[in-house]
Amino acid sequence: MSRQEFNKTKYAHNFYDDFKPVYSVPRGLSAKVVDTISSIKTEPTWLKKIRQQALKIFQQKKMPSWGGDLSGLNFDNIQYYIKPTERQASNWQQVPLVIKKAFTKLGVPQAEANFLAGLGAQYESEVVYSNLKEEWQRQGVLFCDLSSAIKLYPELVKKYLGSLVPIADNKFSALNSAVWSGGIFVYVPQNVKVTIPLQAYFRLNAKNMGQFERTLIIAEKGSQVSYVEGCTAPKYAVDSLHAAVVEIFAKPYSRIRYTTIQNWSNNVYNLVTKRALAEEGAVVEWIDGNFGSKLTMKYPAIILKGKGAKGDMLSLAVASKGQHQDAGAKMIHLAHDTSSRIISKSVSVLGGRVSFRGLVKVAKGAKNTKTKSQCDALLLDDKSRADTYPTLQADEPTAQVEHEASVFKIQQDQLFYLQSRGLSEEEATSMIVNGFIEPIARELPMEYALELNRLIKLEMTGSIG
Amino acid sequence: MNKKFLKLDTIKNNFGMYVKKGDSINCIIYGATKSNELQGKIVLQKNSKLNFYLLLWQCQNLNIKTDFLLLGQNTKAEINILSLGSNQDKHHFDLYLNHQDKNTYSRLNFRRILWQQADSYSQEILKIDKGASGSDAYLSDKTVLIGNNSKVISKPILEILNDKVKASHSAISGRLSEQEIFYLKSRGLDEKRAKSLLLDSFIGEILPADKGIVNLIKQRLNSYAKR
Repeated sequence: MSRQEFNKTKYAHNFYDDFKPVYSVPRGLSAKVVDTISSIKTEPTWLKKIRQQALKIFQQKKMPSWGGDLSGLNFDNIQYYIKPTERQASNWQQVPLVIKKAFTKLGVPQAEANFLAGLGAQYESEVVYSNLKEEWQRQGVLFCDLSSAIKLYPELVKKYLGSLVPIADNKFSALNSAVWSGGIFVYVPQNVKVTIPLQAYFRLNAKNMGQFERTLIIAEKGSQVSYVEGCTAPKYAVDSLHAAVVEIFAKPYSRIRYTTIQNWSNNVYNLVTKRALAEEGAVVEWIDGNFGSKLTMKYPAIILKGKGAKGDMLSLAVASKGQHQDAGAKMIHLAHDTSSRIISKSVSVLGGRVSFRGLVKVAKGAKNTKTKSQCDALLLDDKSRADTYPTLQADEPTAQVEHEASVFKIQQDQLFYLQSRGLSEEEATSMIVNGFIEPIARELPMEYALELNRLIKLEMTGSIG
Repeated sequence: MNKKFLKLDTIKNNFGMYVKKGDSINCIIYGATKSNELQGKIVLQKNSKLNFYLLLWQCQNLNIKTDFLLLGQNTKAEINILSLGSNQDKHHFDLYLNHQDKNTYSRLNFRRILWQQADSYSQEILKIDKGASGSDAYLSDKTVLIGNNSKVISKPILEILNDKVKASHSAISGRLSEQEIFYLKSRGLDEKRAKSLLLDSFIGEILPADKGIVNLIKQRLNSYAKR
């Protein structure tokens, strides 16, 4: 990329659609708003009750006093539900033109045609499109939006929903439980191996909007699935909120790969709760990319409940001007012979701040557990900041717990070498940063890895000279 | 270099130390105590140097909070902490190491060996301020868990506000390495001797040069090993 091209790089997802939804609730949160959401979705009574209970818990719980600055978040100024279309489509021709154009700009339908087993696309509060290729439908794989799943497979959803992230887990999980809409449901039957990824794409379009999707993934014994999700929003001068909940169940000897690249504009508060449960011999691989947002507070957790379960978390956070990424990972070892690895890479540029906040806990009785975490932070200028806040708790003496963290800057001799080979300073910096994040980029599907490199260049625009 | 030796049970509640401009101090706090709550503040002025040792054993209930402030340019602090816990000992450490000026240097080495039901908690904050360009800091926290009911919690924290610094930390906890024990046994040592040798080397790098203190610690280590 030439210097001119580099400097021209813009937030490509900063486009706004002039779109009129079919229904939206007024701003602010109340029992009436919660009831309205539930009524529009014609939900069963048990779910209505959960929503009202969650609202009360949300109102009782205090805002977190740690992490990032949440003082600018005004819950009364948020719109909690916007229904974009009358019905969900399973064919792009049925999707309203404006929304279809938006997803086409984001490259979503093309990716579906070329690389994916299934795709769900959420616009504002609802999934507007979902489709699963026939090959996987025949094998009993379920892939749809969560509201449809509640109607089609009520017992299955009821069994799992909220069992891993309870309503009262934290203030934002309570908020999500009260006003959730949209989100994806994935169910993979026993021994079925979905060999190509399923993808969901979440797009926030409106101002002062809250997106509260809820995702539930269940992989039965011996099955395998890879789920990828991406998120974007246009830039506004006013703030938006994204408070999702994700629950992932990896049954014995199953394998789940969960990949998420969140690329929010810098007016979004991204406050999500994501958790996976790994049973005996199960493997959960988690790849977590965090870009943009005003503040992200996100600490995905893997609970290793069964003997020999394995958790792997690769986390990348990039914070630029006015952004604070308070992201991390949690590994909870409850059974013996479990193992886990956390690799966290962060880049702070133009006054951005990245904080890694992690927890590794080995419970008494989780014998011969092995866990390693590694956090590397790259500071690109003297205005930026990097922190690490790990907690390592070993209640089992046979556990081997390791952690290391380092903070770097790009060395002049590295830049000098690359410049002596004909690269500009920007190109050299960009190449070094891409090398730094390579352990994470190489685990991504090709089109996401390319997007990642583009995003890194974008976040660094203006950081040099 | 000024040397200070302080027995732990002679310190009541608060302690403070000012390492004046250009001074070098070697400070060793050591020993046992039944119960102690200590708050300490150690300040280093320009071009000063501190070698600080906190060597603890037989402390049933211990709560230590200490701030190390590297206020002046070119200050150098080497902080070594050894905590031997046994029975139902409970140790709580709250350490704050702050680089405030240019070209400051610190090493914080923390070693713990826990027998029986000993329980140890530590939070070690390493903060490098905006104006502390050229600083170099490393924090190492290692624990050997020997007792079947021993526990440890470590919170090694980095807060880095300047990009022209070197800062890193590492924390490890677990049993003695089976492979290392096997190697030493293959060289003719019995298991007890092999473990003892490994523990000696585990703490060896952070002990002061003072033979009297080293002997005291080794005796204590042997007496724990016999249990």
